[in-house]
Amino acid sequence: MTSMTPAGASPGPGDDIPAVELIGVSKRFGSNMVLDSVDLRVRKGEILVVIGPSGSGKTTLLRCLIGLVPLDDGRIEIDGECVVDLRRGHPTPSARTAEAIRRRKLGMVFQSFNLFPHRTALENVMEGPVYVRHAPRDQARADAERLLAQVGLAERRHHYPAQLSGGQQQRVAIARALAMKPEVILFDEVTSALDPELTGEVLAVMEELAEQGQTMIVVTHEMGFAREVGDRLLFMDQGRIIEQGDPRTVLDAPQQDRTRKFLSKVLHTH
Amino acid sequence: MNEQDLQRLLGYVPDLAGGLFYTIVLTPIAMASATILGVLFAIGLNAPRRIIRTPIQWFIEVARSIPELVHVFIWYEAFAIMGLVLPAIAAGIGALTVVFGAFLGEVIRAGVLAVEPTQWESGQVLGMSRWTIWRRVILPQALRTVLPVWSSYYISMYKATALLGLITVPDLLFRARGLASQNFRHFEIYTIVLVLYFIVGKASLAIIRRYERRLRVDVPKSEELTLLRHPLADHT
Ligand SMILES: Nc1ncnc2c1ncn2[C@@H]1O[C@H](COP(=O)(O)OP(=O)(O)O)[C@@H](O)[C@H]1O
Ligand SMILES: [Mg+2]
Repeated sequence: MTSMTPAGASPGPGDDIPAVELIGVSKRFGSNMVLDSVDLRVRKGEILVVIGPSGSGKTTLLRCLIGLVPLDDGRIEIDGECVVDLRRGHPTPSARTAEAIRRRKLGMVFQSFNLFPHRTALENVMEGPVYVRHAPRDQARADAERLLAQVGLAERRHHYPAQLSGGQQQRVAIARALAMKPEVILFDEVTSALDPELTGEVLAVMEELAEQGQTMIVVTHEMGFAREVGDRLLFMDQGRIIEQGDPRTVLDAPQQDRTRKFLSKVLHTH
Repeated sequence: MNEQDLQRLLGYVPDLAGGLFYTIVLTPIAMASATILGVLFAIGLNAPRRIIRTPIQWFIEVARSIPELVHVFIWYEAFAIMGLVLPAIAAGIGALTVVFGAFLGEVIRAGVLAVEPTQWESGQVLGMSRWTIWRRVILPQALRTVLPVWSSYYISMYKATALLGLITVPDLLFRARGLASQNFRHFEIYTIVLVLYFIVGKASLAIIRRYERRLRVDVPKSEELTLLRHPLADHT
């Protein structure tokens, strides 16, 4: 695989520690092998775009990373700290330790937004800082207002999710994740539930984050975003990484048959 | 009715109103503790482990099948025989807490089930502990959903406090019976009782409904949220 540093990032101390590292991560649901010994390294500041057919394990990969789903085998390290190691003969950290690390380092944005419906946009964004990090309310509020302004929703901060469009809700969800200042943000098809005319505003916010050097793992079907914003493109099928590399190279000249087949299908429907 | 009758009638009011005070104060206290117990039951019923769920299910099942009056006598008399002598008011509140806690446990659990399961994950990826997710995410939504049902239980609780007159809590009913047994003016006295119960009941309901609407402003009336409401919630 090719190695690359995000454009403009200057190497400093600790920069060689990957933001995320997976070694031999496997997950099965019953007899269904959903992740099949996945090895993956994501550098700090890198924008990793993950594509693949439905059911190939993309969501499960993100969910295993953030701890919503337990692994069956393998090791995960986040910013140099091991959160789980199920390989034979290796010690694994306690669930509590793992959770504390994930809490500090990872954030996630879902396809279906999943905002708290009983709280306003502003309260949604403040919730994590106030009730998880125990930040002072005033400071959390100021931060949340700044983040909502950043995603273009300053005037909507007192609206409830149900009073916002899908695109606006998703931008609140991104602000909510950002409020925890995560090292890595996981995006799981965050524009798939949106009307086509609303995807642009969400992708624009993500592109801006990418420019600011935020490490991101982005599962998406937006090939334009993958090509323009991604540092690396990874194609998954049946729980395995089939091919990865520079997005333009993978998209324009895929090396594997399965990638070619998938891309011809996706690109034709777009 | 002549003026003398009216004088006499009004003469009963202060004593009876003093009894009404107990009713008015006991209702919110018993309802608050029943709600807390109901929340604990609902959380327990949601536990992944059977060892926690099953006893709670049984307890609720039994508590709900026993007449409220029997609960009251158990707390006041049976416990006393077993060595736990409680003041009548404490026994009464305890009994009503258990009965209504059992009902509310089921109601709140229904409200919990009506919360989108993805809300748990939203809390988890923000790093919330289980308890924080309950407190900040699940319960606020579940309680809003069941609020109309809760209100009707509030009124039932108000009525049920009359049972405490039977274990010497000097509430409205207790004093009315006392007065009536002295002067045999049952008709007049119970007319006043009826009117007082009616007025306070109506007023409580009005206050609750108003508060209910205020709380519901927080939850916008989107289609999605209407779906989130449990069918039980439509019963009032
Ligand atoms: N909780 C679950 N229980 C059982 N099977 C699951 C579960 N989650 C995902 N799967 C299965 O795992 C496979 C991969 O799913 P997923 O990771 O959602 O794929 P993708 O996101 O690439 O579409 C699918 O076959 C799916 O049916
Ligand atoms: Mg998926």
